[in-house]
Amino acid sequence: MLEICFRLRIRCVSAYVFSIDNFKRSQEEVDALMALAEQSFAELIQYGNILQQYGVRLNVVGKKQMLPPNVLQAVEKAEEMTRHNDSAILNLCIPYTSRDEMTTAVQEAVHTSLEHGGATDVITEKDIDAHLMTTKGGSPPLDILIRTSGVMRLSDFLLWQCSEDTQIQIVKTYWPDFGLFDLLPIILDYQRKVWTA
Amino acid sequence: MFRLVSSLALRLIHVLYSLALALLYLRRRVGGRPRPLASRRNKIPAVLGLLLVYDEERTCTQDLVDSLVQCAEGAAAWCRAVGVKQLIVYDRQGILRTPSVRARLQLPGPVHGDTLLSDNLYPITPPLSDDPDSQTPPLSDSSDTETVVASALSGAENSTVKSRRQSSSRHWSQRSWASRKGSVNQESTLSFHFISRDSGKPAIAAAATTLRRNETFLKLADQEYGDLFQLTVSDLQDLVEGDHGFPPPDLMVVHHLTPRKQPPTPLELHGFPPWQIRLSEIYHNDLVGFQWPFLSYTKGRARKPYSVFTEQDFCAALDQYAGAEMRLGK
Repeated sequence: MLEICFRLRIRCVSAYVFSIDNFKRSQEEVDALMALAEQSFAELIQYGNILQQYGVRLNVVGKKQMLPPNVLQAVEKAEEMTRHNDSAILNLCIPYTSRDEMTTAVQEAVHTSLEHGGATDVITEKDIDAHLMTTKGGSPPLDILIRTSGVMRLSDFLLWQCSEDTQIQIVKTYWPDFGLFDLLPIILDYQRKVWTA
Repeated sequence: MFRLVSSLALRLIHVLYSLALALLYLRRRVGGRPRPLASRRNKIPAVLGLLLVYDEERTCTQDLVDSLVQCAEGAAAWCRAVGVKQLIVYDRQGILRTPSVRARLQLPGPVHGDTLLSDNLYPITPPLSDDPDSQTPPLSDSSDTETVVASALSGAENSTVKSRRQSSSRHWSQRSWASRKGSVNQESTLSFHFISRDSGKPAIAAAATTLRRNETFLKLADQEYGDLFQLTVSDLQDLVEGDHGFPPPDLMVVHHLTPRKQPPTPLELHGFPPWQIRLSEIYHNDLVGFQWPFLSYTKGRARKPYSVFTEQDFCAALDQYAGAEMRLGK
């Protein structure tokens, strides 16, 4: 699916990999998921062809300090490996919630305002937007948000980014099975919107 | 030549796609009707949000205002009938919040004090007046800030902003103020919030400005204070969902008032406040208001300038909510 996106020249893809709320699952399950994450990042480092081929910069977005040290090390290595790529962006949100991202952005906007001082102490929407983790990683505004498995909820994912004119597409297909034929009508809907704007 | 062929092929794909959407639309329109309002459902939302979408490029006419009022009053009546506790009605431009329109609304319950506008700031302490109809007072000028923040420091209830100086706790929540203010009768079965885009991102920015000003005061007051300002999700939640904000809707219905000339379009949120929608079940009422002359199912509605939210739409939303499963990360 990533390769399809990059071939279609979709410049930025963000995927919700693991929620902060997922830590509520059993310790066994969380440990297994973290082990899988470490393995995936290690493979990415070793066989990072697709990222290098399409010039993709990898950003891991989320409260990284919650990750086990071994996973955090693999994450930092993978990010460092692709830091200078500038053709496309892949955001992997782990562990992430949008509320945590918005709270962190408000906190950092306050820090920045206090450090810089200046004539005005007013913090604007744009200031908060500039401090979002996705924005800091170079992500453009969000055009399409795809929710798989037919669930009609956003589940704390990219809420600030999708609350204006992002097209939110709910598909019944579950993620592992999501493919080109699921993506095609979504792309057509987006084109219709752009053409009629 | 290749570009021309590709362009024609793409256009053909779009024509076929539009036909497929039209057929799907017809199929959904003739599909099963929702259960009646009085039907027993295994769960009902405690807080319901109604997002009313209209073409903002058109001039605001009396027809639009009448339609907004009709939608709000209808939703209020049905909410009361099924036991919804709070109804949040959103229109991007805040037409329903204007005094003249609010005066027209016939509602069976109290309306929460105006949700914070972007040019107001969150007061740290209770307002000067206990008048339940008073507007949220803006944070006053710098000469009053010291008193305001000092009062906040003396009161310590719910959430606290993290600081290495643990002896002082800064109190952002206004819940104790609400019980004294008495603006909401806790015994009412249904209460209302009327919100607009200003209640979302601008309100979060206003909260950030308040926090920033408070930090400036604290740094001036204590030269040794060198702690980095820290904010938790709970702190911001107390500000945004507290007495100057509104709670997250369990179910949010997106209804299009303005008739559209295309097959159903994907869901968009039209500036609805982002903080509150993290777990909201969303019902997109996208089957209404098409003006295709050869489709007769909307003929009754489509001839009117706006498509009003109906009891059938409301029931369909309730049916979707009743069937939704919430896992909450587990």
